[in-house]
Amino acid sequence: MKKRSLAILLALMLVLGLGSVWMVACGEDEETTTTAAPTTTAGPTTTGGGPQTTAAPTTATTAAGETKELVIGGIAFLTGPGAAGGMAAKTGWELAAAKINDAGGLKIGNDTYMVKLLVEDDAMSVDQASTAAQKLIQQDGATFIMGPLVDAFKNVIYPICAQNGVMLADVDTKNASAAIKYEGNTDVSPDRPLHARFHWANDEMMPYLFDYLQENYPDAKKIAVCGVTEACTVALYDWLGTTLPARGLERVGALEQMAPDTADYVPPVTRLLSAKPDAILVAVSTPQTWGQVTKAARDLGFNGPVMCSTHMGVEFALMIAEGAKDVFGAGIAMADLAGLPPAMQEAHEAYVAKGYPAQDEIADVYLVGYNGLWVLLQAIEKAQSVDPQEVYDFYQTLTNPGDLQTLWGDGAYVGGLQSTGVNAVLCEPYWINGVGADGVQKNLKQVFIDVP
Amino acid sequence: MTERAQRITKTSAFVVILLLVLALPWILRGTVKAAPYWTHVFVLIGVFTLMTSSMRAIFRTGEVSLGTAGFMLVGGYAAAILSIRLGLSPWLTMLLGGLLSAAIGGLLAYPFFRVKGVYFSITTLLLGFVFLYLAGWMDWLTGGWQGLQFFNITPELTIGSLNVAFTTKTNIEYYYLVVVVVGICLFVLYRMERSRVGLVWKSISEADHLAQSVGVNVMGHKIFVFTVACFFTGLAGGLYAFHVHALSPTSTPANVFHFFTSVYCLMYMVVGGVNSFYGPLVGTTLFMLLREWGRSVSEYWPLVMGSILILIVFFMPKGLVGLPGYSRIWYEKLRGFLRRRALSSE
Amino acid sequence: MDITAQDAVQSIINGLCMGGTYVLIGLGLTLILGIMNILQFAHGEVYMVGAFIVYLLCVLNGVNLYLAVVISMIATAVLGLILERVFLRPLKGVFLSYVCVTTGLSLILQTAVMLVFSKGVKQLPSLWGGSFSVGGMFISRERVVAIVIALLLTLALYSFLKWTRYGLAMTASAQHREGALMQGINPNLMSALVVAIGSGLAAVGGALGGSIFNLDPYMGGLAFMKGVTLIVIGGLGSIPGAVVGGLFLGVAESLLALFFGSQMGIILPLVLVIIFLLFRPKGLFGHD
Repeated sequence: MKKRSLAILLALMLVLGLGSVWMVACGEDEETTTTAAPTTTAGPTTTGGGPQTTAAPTTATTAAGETKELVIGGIAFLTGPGAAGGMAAKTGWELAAAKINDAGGLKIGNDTYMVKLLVEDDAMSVDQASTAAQKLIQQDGATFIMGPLVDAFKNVIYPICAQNGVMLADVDTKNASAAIKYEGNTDVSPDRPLHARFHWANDEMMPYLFDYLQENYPDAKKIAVCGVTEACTVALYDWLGTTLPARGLERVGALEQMAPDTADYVPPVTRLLSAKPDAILVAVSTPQTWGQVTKAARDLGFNGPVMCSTHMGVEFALMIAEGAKDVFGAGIAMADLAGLPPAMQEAHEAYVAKGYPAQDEIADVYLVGYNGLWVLLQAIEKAQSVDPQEVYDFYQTLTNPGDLQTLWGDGAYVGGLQSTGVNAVLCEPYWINGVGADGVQKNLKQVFIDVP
Repeated sequence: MTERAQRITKTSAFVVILLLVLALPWILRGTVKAAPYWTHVFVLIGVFTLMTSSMRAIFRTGEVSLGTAGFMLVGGYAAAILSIRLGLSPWLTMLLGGLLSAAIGGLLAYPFFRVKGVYFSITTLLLGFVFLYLAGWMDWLTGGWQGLQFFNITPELTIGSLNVAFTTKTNIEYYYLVVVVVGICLFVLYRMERSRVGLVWKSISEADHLAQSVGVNVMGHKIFVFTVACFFTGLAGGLYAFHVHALSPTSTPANVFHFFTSVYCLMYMVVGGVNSFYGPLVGTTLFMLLREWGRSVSEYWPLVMGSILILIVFFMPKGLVGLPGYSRIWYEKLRGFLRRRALSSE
Repeated sequence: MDITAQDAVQSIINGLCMGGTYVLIGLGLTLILGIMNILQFAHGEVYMVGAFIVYLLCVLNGVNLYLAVVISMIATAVLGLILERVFLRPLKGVFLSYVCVTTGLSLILQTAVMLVFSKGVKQLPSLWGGSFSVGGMFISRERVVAIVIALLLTLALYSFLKWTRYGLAMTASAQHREGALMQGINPNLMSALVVAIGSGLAAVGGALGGSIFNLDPYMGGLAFMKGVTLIVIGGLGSIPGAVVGGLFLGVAESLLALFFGSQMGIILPLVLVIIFLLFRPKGLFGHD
């Protein structure tokens, strides 16, 4: 008796389930004609879900001198072991938003837009990243999304943004640009409209590091390569095999990949040193890798330069590898603030005013976040529109040096047409920081990262 | 209440809940602003309910498996890789993912069940880590720590001229897919638990030597339930994969394939009520919704979870499902206490 | 790639040092398991709290590193006493309950530490900076210090268990709970003692780990996994087993990582342990 009733219930469930799917499908057919539009044309006014429109920005723009809200979403890892980096990026975004709002907001046409920044946690998990993006876009009405900081998650967020006509602003560093071919590359490309990049990629930075190496360590010819275990690290290693000989350098030894959970860096560095290199390159680094590799290398009696192409304050590496010398990489040394551009000094004052230490080891992360949002807001203001498509289109036209300002110095513009197929990469100055033979932390050199 | 009346109440409650589950996307569309987002959350709830219920099925024989996340990873990756590399239909690969997970579970079950209790938990815990690291290590197959992304692969269903794509656009189609699949799986688990096999499991959990001495094939039953649970967990992994369209094994504790997911499933199970079939449903739904509502305080979330778990173990060992009973006891206690106070003050 | 014999010897020494810190966490786990029949899932977090107390004293307040380690050891032992009295003792070793309560505790401790000491990676000062060279090999000084401290503490524990009344009582409880109870040994006292000692040792392990590597609120998870691995190798509840298992694990990881890369150094020991668990669940030194 009971068995039968349950079987009936199951059948009922199946029928109802299939019926509902059918209903949805029919409903969808009617809707596709209207919702398909945003992906081909400009107007991102309707969310994928249905008839609701996104929040304030896209509604009425006729009334003069109105103050409105521009919702910008950020996705970063705010919990878990990497949380420090995510929190730093969030702080940078907050500072940049506060700067614009304190100055009276963005003036677009007759209206004034106040930036409303909402940052959600991706918990370093793809489903959480996807959840965060959907929440920001659908619930909060964000029309621009920054982040996430993990490269792989950008491929998860991007389709959600594209579906909803939201612009994805890639504000943090990229491990490998589109020039490095590998499956799952997350860089901007012609078939990824509404995706713009506001920072350089590791392979775009590396030539400048090698320049610095050759200027200052002319005897260092043989370079051993290591990095975090990722597909892009392997691709970068292959790329270095052709790039380095062209400069008169040599790639020696096999690629040493460090799993994210590696506790002891001595065994991999022993392997790295068995090829007798003159210098070590950390091609892709977590916050710890550079410091740990340096520490292990010095403990193992290696005295050559150790460089890192992921942006990082050298203080951080030295916190782990106490007293190491001849270490340099992309990044900003906050200990050497005096020579930095005024905009960065100003940003750092605001940072310290919020109660953070002046020589914070992860200061460079907040600076990158700050810079990214600042440039995005500049682009929005220059485009005189809050419509993501219009901003994206206008961003692509800012190709004259000096069109955009950055924290790192002047002369920034948008490029990348030749290497990525689309003009959506920010070309900007940046810094190499490190410690020379004298043991003093310095911003060693300003370079201009030019992406053709 | 007579037995008949009780059964009628139960059945009608069941039907109401069922209707609610089926009507949910439409209710959401009418009531909340971001319906697709909430539908997405409920899809994840469905996936995790299946995992938690599978874990509970293993627990019916008295063992706690902490390898849930690992088997989910196997199912999800297998489904994704088969679809990406061989171009097989997601329907087939989801099933194959579950079957692969079950095959691995079935093969390992015999050696694993030679140990009991904490040894078994440790073995499964370490196995979960092995799967996680292997997924990161075998980058030629799994994309390494970078993971896999496959947005172009979506399950589709064609009935006559009608074509339904289970996309992430509104998530509604996928929600119904999850409801149907998870519903069938839960129904199977429910039937097993209520059948003779379920009683045998119970006997194994309570006194395995005794069960063996009266002729129960303890090992056979354990292997069977473990294999079935692994199948469902793998299936949940496949459902997860084609909903999120990306898999990555980042080794941070919050990652879905990390040990923490197994721990969270354990929590959903215990908090919901480990002795009731509905415990995992209640626990998972409540906790994942709470987590979503509490996004602004996500930093404190593990703290809250840990505290609730400890409180439940100490004060409500039957879980939230036992709340009606507990509230009656607490009410009686409070009344007794007040009465005594009143008496002593007179 | 040419790995020389020197590299291998160097790796063995490094591995022994890693093993030393593993032993310190494994000892507590194995003692608690032996006497209370509880696998302390929050033991890794106790290890982490120990390291953070050292950080609080040494880096933030300028106390001498070694003094800070001693204070942290005592403070963590007290924390252990509290955990035992409030959470562990009432559970009476019921399996599902203690799994839940101890994992709950680990979540709470992790989050609490993260909230108190902001996020991010931190570092303790080096125990003794630099390295020295012997016959062409470079050996880092701090690792030598770490292994000496680990061995001294293990010896101290061993003598305590061998030659003091309480120690003998503890050994007896670990070997046969009911028998010890009949001899008038107070099981509550024993469990309090064992958690306190185990937590203190873990704190020192955390300090060593935090100094050689780095510390963050999530470091306990990995440490716990290492601890579980080594007590499985050594035999659950066995002290010599924990020491041998820990050193073996350290050396195995180091050599595997040297020959097959750092990923294999993590995966292979786990596979090895699963095999171990299946064919010799009692471990090297286990008993019933």
